[in-house]
Amino acid sequence: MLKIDDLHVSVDGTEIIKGLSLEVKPGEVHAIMGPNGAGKSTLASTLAGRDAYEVTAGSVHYAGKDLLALAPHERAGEGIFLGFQYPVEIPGVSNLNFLRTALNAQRRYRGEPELNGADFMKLAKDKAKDLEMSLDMLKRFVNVGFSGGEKKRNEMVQMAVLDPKLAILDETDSGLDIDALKTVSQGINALRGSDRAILLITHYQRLLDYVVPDHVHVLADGRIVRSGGKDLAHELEAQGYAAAVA
Amino acid sequence: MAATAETREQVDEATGDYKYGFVTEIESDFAPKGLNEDIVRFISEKKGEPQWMLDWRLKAYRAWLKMTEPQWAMLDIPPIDYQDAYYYAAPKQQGDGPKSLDEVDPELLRTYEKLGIPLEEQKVLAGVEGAPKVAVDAVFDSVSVATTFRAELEKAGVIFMSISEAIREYPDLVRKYLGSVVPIRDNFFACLNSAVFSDGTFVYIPEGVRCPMELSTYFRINAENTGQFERTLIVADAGSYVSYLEGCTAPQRDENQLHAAVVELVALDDAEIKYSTVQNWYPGDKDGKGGIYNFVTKRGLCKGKRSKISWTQVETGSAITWKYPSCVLQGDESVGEFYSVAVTNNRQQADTGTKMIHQGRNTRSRIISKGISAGRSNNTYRGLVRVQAGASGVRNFTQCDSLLMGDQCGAHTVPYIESRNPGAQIEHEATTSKISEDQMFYCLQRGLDEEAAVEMVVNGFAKEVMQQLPMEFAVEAQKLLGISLEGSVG
Amino acid sequence: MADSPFDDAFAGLGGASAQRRAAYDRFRSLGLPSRRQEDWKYTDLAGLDRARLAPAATGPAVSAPVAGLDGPLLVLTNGRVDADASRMGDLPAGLEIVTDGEPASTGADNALAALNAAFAPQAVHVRVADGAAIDRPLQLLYRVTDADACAAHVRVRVALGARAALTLVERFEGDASAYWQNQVLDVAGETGSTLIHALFQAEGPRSVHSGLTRVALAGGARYRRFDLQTGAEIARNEVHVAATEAGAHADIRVAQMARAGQSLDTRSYLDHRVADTTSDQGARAVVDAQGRTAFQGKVHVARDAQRTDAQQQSKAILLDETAEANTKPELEIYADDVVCAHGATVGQLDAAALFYLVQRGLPLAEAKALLIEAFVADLFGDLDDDTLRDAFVAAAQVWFGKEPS
Repeated sequence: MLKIDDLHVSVDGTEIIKGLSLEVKPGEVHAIMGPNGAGKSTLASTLAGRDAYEVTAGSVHYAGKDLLALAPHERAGEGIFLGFQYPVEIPGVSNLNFLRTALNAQRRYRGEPELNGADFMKLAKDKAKDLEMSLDMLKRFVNVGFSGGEKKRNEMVQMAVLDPKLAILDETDSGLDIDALKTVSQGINALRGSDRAILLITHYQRLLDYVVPDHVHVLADGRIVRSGGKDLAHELEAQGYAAAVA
Repeated sequence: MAATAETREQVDEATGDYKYGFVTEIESDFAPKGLNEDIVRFISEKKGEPQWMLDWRLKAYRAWLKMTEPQWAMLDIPPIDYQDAYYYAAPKQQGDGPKSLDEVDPELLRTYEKLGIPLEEQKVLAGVEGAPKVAVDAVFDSVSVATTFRAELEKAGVIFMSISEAIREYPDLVRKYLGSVVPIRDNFFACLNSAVFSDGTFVYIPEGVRCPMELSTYFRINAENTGQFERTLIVADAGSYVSYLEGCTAPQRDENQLHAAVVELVALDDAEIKYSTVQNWYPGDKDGKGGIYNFVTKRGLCKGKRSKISWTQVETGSAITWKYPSCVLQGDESVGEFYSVAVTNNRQQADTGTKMIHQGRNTRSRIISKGISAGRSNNTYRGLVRVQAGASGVRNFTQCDSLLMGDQCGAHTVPYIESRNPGAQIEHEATTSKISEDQMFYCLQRGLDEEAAVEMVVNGFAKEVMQQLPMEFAVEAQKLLGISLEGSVG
Repeated sequence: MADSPFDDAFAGLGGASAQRRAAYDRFRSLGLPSRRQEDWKYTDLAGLDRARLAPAATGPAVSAPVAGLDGPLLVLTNGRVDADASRMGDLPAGLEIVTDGEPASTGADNALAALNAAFAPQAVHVRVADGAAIDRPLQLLYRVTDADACAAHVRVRVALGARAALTLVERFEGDASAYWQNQVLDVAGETGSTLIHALFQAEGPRSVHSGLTRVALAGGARYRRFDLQTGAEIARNEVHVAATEAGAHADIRVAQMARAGQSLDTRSYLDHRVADTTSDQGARAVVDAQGRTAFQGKVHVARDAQRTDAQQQSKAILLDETAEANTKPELEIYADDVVCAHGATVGQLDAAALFYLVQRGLPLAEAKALLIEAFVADLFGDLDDDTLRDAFVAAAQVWFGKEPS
C-alpha cells in the first residue's frame, strides 16, 4: 500500500530525514516511535505533502502511484488522512460545513457522487456519537475554543467520516487524559480493516496498549534504526530510546 | 443561474408594459464631452424634468465648481479630468471597446465562466461592441417570480420605478425627500451627482406595508450608462419594511471609469430598510490597468422613532472604492447597522466604512467590518461613531477585523469615536490576522483544493457579514469571495 | 508669503544664527497646524496666531520637585536653565548633562518643532554612558511664570548608551498667565537601553502646552512612557516612536483629565520599521463639564516588519453632559505576519460599582472619586517605582479636588 524508499527530506536546507525506507501493507498497523527531533513529524508532513518539506532524494509510492507527484488535496482524495498533532482552528467555519465540503471534495476527486445534506448529517451524527461528541460541538467552529482532548476527538470524528485508506496519526495521543485516550483509541481501532493501514507516530508507548501495532519502528536521526513487533515498544518504554538505539 | 433567452423574453413580457416600468426611454442622441451649465440643462431637458429639478441641478453644479475633491482618504487617486468625460449617454466609440470576447481580459472571462454566465451575457457585461444594450441579470431562475412581482407590488401600493419617471409622476414625493439626507453640498462627488445624475431608482413603501418581496436592481432593465451617476431614493413610510438588493456578482465592465452614485434612505416611525449591495465593478487587470473609480455617497436617515436602517455590503470590485454607507439616527430608539466585507486584490484600493451619527435618545448602532487585502492592494476601514450632546442612552458596538493575504498588501483601520454624552456606551475592537499556512495545509490535507480552502477560510472570517445577506445573494457572494482572492495564497 | 505674527518675535531675537533662520523659514513654509489637517482635527491652535508671541523672559526661580523623589533636578524657568533652583551637584556616575546655547535645527516636517528650533534659547543634552544604570531618577522641571503673551520653547535631547538605563521625570507647570510652552524632546536609545519616562503635565489654567517626543530605539531598547495630562487650557502632545531594530519595545501610558474649557489632545505614532518589534499603548480619559479630550493612537507597521506585536487599549469616561471624548485608534499595516489589535470604549462610571460603594456608606462624590482614581491608577499599575506611581495617583487626586492621601 505504502512503499517508502531511501527518502531524504530537508526543511530550510537542513536534512531531517536521511534515508528512510518503510513498507506498509493493507491491514497493518505500524507504530513509529522515537525521541524528539528524530524526524517523526517531518515524515508525517512529507507524506501529506506540506510545503517547505523538500524531498531531496528517494521515492514514495502509494497504491501504485507516485505519491510525491500529487498535490496535498489529491493525496487526501486518494485516501490519506493525517491526524494533526496540533489541530488548526478555523474561525467562522462550522465543523459540519468543513467536513461536508471536505468529504464532497474527496468524493468528487474519486468520481463518486456527492452526499446530500440529509445523508451527510446522518453519517456525521453517527460517527460523532461513536466518539462521544455532541451535535453542539459539530456545529461549533472548527477547533475554536476546543480543549486539547476535544481537538483530538474532533480529528477522530473527521477521520471516521472521511473514511481514509491510510491514516497517519501524528502524536494523536499527546495531551490526552486516560478517558480521552480510550475514546481516541476506539476511533482508531474502528478504522482497522483488511484493506486499510494505519501509521501511528508517537513518543510514548501508552497508546499502544489500546491500539496494538503489528510492527514497531524506531526512528532516530532521520533513519529507522530498529524494527520489531509490539514488544519493542515495551522495551523502549523500559530502557529508554538511548539504550534501544545504541 | 444564468438567464436564458427564454426567461429574458418572459421578463420583458412581464415588466415591459408595467406602469412602473423599468425601461428608461431616452433617445439615443448624446451630448458632447465635458461639463458646463448647458450640459446640465440638456440632461434635464432630455428627461423632461420640471423647472424645480433643473434649478436643483444647476444649484448643485454651481456649488460643485467651488468644491475640491476630498483628500483625507488613504487612496492614491490619479488626477481626474472632469471635462474629458461624457455626462449623458456617451456614444459608442468605434474601436474603443473590445470587438469580441477574444479581446477581453482573460482573467475576467475566467471569472465569468466560474460564475456560470452564458456567452451572450458575458458580451454585455464585458462591453463587447455590438452586444445588446440591455442586460438582464443572472438571477432569474424562476419566471413566476417575475410575473407575480408586478401584481403583488401593485396590490401593496409600493412605488418602484426609475427616478426619472418618479420625478415626472410623483414630483411632490421626490421633491420632499431628494437631497434631504445627502444635501447638494455634502461632498464633491455627491454634489457632482446632484448636478448630472443620469438615472436611478425610486422606492416608496406606504404606511404599514411590508414590501412583499426583495426589491432588486436585478429586476430593473436599464439602458446602459445609468451606472455612472446613479441616484437612488428610498422612502419607507411609518411602520413599513423593505429589503433592497443592489448590484450583481458578475464583474461588470463600464466604459465610464468614474462612478459617483448617491443613495438616500429615509425611514419614518417604526419603518425598516435593509439595503444589501454586492459591488463587483471591473477592478482593472493585475497591474491595475483599467478599472472603475467608485465614489459613492450612501446615507440613511432614521427620521422616525424606532426606525431601523441596515446596510450590508460585499465590496470586491472597482479599482478605487470610496464609500461610507452611513446612518443618521435622528428618531429616538432608532437603530443603525453596517455589515461590510471589502476585498482588495492586485492593485485595488478601498477606503470604506461607515458613519453612525447618534442624535436621538436610546439610539443603537452596530458595525461589523471585515477587510481582506491581497496582492499589492490597500484596504482601509474608516468609520465614525458620533454621539451628540442630547443623545442619552446610546449604545454602539464596533468590530473591525482585517485579514492580510501576502506581505505586499496593506490593511488599515481608522476609526473615529466622538462622544458628547456621558450616558453613551461605545465599544470598539479591531484585530489583524492572516490566513495561516497551518490553516491552509489543514484544509488541503482534508481534501480541499487551494481555491476551496481559501474560500472556506475567508468565508469563515466574513461569516458575520455574509449571514446578513438575503439568501439568493449569499450563495453567489460566498463564491465571489473565493474568486476575487484567487491566486493570492501559495 | 503673508506676514506671520511670529515675524516680529523672530526679528526681536536679533542676529539669529543661520540655523535658527533655516528653522524659522521651515516653520513659515509649514505654517501653524490647522484643524483642516487630519491629525489636528481635535486641537485648535488658531489663538496662538493672535497672542503669545514674544519669547518668555527669565522669571523668578521656583522649585517644586515631585514629592518624595530625590536625585538630580534641573529646573528650566521660562525656557532657560535656572541653575539656582536646580540641584545638579553630585551627578551619579555615567550621567552627564550639558546645556547648549544653540539648539540643533531638526524641525523636519513638524511646524512646532521648527518654531522650537528657531526660538529655543537653549538645548539640554542628557547622556547616559554605555552600561550605566542610573539608580536615581533625573527630574526636569519646566516652569513658566509671569509670562503673559509669551512663549517658552524648551528643547531636550536624551541619549542612552548601550544597555544604559535611566528614569526621567518631567513636570510642566506654570502660573495663571496666558503663556505657551512648547517642548521638543528627542530620545535615542542604543542597544538594550531602557528609558522610563514619567511625565506630569500640570501647566497653568490659561496656557497652551505642546510637546513633541521623538524616540528612536535600537535593538532590544525599551521606552516606557507614563504620562498624566491635567493642566493647560489647550494641550497637544505627540509621541513618535521608531522601532528601528529587532527587539525594540515601547509602552505608552497616557491619562488625560480635562474639565472647564480644557482641550487635551495626544497623538501617538508607533512606527514599527523592522521585524520583531513590539508596542503596547494604554490611554485613559476622564472628562468633566466643558472638558474635551482626544487620543489618537497610531500604529504603523512597515513592509517586512513581520512578527510585530502592537496592542492598544483606550478608555474614556464622561462625567457630564457637556464633556466630550474623542478617540481615534489607528492601524496602518503593510506586513501580514503581525499581531495588531486595538480596543476602545467610551462610557461613564460603572453604575453597579458606584451603587455598591454608596450602599457601603460612601457619599456619592467620594464614591465617584474613588472609582476615577482606580480608573486612572490602573494605567500606572506596571510602573515599578512606588514613589512615582504614588505621585501619579496624587496628581490625579489633586485634579478632582481631593487632598492627596
